[in-house]
Amino acid sequence: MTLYDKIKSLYPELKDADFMDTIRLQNDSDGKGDYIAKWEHPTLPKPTEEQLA
Amino acid sequence: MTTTINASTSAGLVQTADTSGVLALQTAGTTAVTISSGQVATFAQAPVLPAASIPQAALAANVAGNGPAFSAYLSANQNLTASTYTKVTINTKDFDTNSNYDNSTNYRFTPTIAGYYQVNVNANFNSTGVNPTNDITLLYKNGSEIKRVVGASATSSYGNTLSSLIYMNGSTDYLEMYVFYSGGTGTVSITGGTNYTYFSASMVRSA
Repeated sequence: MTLYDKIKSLYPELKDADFMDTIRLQNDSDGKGDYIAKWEHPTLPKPTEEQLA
Repeated sequence: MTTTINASTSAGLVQTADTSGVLALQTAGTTAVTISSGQVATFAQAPVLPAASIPQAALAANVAGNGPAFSAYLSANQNLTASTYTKVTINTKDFDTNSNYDNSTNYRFTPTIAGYYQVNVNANFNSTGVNPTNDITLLYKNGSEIKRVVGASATSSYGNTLSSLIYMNGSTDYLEMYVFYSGGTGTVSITGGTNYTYFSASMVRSA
């Protein structure tokens, strides 16, 4: 399951547009995988590492 | 000591001589050009040369005509994850005149000459089982997005080109190429090949 899938399962109400604007998931192709580069959603809190584990 | 030849405003041509081997050309008593005993000419002011008198090969590295330029491409398909900004691993060079593009570790262009650079990137998106709703090609400077182009969607394969003029400080500034798509389940990749997904830049004006 990708980071995007995990976040979508936590917050099904998120739209694709949210991931273009207030939330930025990023992969720097350095072998470290996907990560949350920015979380500025106006109402939903940034998921914890435990929630994403 | 210096041998001088002076165009005097009162006495006309005035010459003084010694054995230093150094020659100074003067006007009104002020030295305009000094020629050392080793034949090195030093100008008191920047010389005014005839237009188009300096050939390309004589330009210094900080002049645009001899500035850095590179072109590289993605050699094999790179799979993407939905809604995730992903760096494109442009890994094969066509050329890299100043060895400023890292094609093996960080996939970034870090020019060592300050100036303004024309930058071009093209990503060819290829999708199977999904029609992406947003295909975006981005240029990152120093780890942050500075330019993007949002392409048309709902097709299985198409190119997405971004072109921009970017100032680079010649030391710490670097550029990277990222892509993004959003859409349903399926496979989306960036197409490898010299003529599909590529990244190039060249200095067009010195700082």
